[in-house]
Amino acid sequence: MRLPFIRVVQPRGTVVSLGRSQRHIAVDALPARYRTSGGGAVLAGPWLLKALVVLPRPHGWLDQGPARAAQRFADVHRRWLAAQGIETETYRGPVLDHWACFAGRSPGELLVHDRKITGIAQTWRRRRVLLWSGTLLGGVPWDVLANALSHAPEAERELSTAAVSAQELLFKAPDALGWGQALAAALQGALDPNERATLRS
Amino acid sequence: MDVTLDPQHWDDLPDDAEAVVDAWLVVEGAHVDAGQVIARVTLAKSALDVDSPSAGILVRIVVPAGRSFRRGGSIATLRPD
Repeated sequence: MRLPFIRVVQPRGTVVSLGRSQRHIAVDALPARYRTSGGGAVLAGPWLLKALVVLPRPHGWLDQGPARAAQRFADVHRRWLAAQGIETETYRGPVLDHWACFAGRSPGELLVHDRKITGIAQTWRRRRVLLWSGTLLGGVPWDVLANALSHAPEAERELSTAAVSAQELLFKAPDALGWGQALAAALQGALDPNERATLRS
Repeated sequence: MDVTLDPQHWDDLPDDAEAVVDAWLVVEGAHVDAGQVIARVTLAKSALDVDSPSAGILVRIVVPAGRSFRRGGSIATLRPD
């Protein structure tokens, strides 16, 4: 794999993605995947735009630790969302853990009026670092996530309040392909103009 | 010798930030090489490796898997060769 590596994906199927500390959690009725990174559960599906960047070590984005790397990664997303008409704030407070990623908070993640639209997670290894993001394009069936992880029905309201999608903000469904290509190009431009980014769905 | 998480990993995080030990990759009494990954931890949604600062014997695990620690906290004791 040539590094930096960039990939932007809009998942087609519905999958529960669990954080590293959630390996003991049973998932009902849906396929589950377990991330190497931390954070809470994500319901991946067509409402989500995922980005992966793999950086070699050393790299300029990484020389001041994970919080600063998240900030740099988030800055690209913040400019990309602004170009789509969505102004975001970068979360800078303490880490707030939650069983669901989009109800938790971690430095660098992007909010709109205190509601999360982009989550970020990282995996640092000796020779490379993986930066992941998930941005909510459309409405998430939060009840499906709550049910799959056996949480009470009122969890749906909590998650709906804690997170926001581009569709909710813009009152129309985003063009996922165009948005994905724009994000891939923005990441490519920020990291290495000569690297070829890929977009998959 | 104390084993700690690379101080750089704590940069820009609040003073009260906590990391959690996800797994120990070696057991107490094992010999480790300098730079060997001996534990995996999570800090602010980042999965991080803890490298052995020196070759030697991992004498004691101070923070077991599933427990948290703060900036500068020793997670294990190493007796260098």
